[in-house]
Amino acid sequence: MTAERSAPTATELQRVAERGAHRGFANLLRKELAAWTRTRAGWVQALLWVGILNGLMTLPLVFMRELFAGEMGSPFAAAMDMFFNLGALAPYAGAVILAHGAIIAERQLGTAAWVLSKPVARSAFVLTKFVALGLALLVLALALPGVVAYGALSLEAGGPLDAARFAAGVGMIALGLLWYLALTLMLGTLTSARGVVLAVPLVLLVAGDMLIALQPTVAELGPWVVGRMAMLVAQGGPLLSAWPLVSTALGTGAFLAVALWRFGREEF
Amino acid sequence: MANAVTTPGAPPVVETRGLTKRFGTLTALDGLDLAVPERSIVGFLGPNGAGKTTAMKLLVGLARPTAGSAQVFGLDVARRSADVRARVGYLAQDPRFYEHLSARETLRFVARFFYDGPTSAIERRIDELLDLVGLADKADRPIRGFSGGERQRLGIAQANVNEPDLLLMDEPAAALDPAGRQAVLAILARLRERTTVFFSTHILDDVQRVADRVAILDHGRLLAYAPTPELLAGDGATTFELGVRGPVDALTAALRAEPWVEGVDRGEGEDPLLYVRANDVDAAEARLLRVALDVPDVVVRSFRRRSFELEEVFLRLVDDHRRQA
Repeated sequence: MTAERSAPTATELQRVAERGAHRGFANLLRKELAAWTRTRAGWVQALLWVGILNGLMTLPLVFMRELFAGEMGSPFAAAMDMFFNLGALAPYAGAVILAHGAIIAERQLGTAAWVLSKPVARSAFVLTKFVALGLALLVLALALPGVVAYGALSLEAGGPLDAARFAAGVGMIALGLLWYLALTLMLGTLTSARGVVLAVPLVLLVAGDMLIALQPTVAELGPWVVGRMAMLVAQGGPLLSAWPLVSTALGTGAFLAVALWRFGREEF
Repeated sequence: MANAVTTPGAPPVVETRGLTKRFGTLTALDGLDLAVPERSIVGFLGPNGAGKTTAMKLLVGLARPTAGSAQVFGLDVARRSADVRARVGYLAQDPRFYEHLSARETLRFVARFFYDGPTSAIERRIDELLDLVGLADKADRPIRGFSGGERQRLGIAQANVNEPDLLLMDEPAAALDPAGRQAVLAILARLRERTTVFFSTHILDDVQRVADRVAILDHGRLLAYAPTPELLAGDGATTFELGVRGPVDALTAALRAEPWVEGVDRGEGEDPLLYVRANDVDAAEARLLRVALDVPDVVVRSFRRRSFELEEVFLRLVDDHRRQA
């Protein structure tokens, strides 16, 4: 090591004035988003989701038109169904997979303790995970494929679809994505078992239809019918019930509240 | 070791009262009472599992006390921990960073928790710190390729980003080579003028060299907390060591007859050594040699004022505590 070179320059440096529950939020968010924007992760995810959601749409729209027309009435209806139903499944699973280690890994590696030894609110630590992952997934796994799907479906329809209704449908799916994301992050604060954090949301995702078949009121309590409702809305149909959307939004808030409470009590 | 530059009448920077931390049935820290004066360097000593790391984590808000309280800069660490951390630099025992970031990016990330800007001043501060810890030539390499010593140096740099009023360092020299260790001690000594340093270590020599005060902990209990010279002086009496040849028994008797002598002990070894405990240092310095030379046939081979090594004090305290326990 070398000797100290010159006097510190603290007089020129301006202290951060951020206080309260969001202390450190901006800096943490910058770091979290940089992981998407300054690495290949962003491009890889973008290609992956366009490949999955829009790539499969080419089956009814391009390669197997007759087959899908026979089964679904038209290639357009089949492609619409494919985008919205798959959109309410694959990105949700992606959210769970990407988020399941977000908090556990930092706790286990010791980086959470390091960050929290700085003037950072614990709530800011959890919320930046939610905001950064949510933003990345909404943009890369829903908005980008949504734009591509809108263009492809408009071409198939022979004219532009109602953009507001299509966006509302995608927005409804986004609500479900945030529900799964918040659930996964909450579990990451409650347990250190990655398997549990991964399994619980994925089981809920896959078993949603079975639960509804057993007890139809379950459909009103979470995002399980959001995909079907979103497709209907995007096609100009009515919103059959607001309850699934309301309960999904409330559930997301509740999961985050539990995550903030639990992480606030965590010891390192 | 220099003296602390403490402002007279200044409140303690760290003050704990009955600070206790239990993990289930294990008491990691047991009623710690400590007051760390401003701009002092306090060495925190104790065997593994003594509670040093737990105490530091409590001070920085990474753990919550089971009982008792701790204040840093007069702020309760349980309620105002973020405000406390804004003025504290903390180096963990095994510092962990984001492996994909470089040292420069890491310091930039840390600096942004404390400073809004301007960017040029932040970058200059980062350059200073990289120079300070000798990482300037590795500043832009990912941390995943760093050795243990380089990580430790980065840890020291990141703990100093905000020019902290209090530096809490858990084993700062643990992973460093001897040259790195010397450099860390030199940095600590330099920081004395503007900051308070509270550091734990197993290397007793380091504490003896730089610490103004020493706290000794074992099994969560504070065994001793005193200015270093006081601790090294022993139990109040000053001891002189006399290497002699000749009639030792006669010399011992002559010394015991002096009013300023509290006691005389024989040391082990081929050449007789006498340890003379004196309650009046001036009298001892003026008279001890004369008394010895007045005894017929006594030859004095060596004479020095004895101070204890910290290691002796530490081991004696820990042994006593364990025997009592």
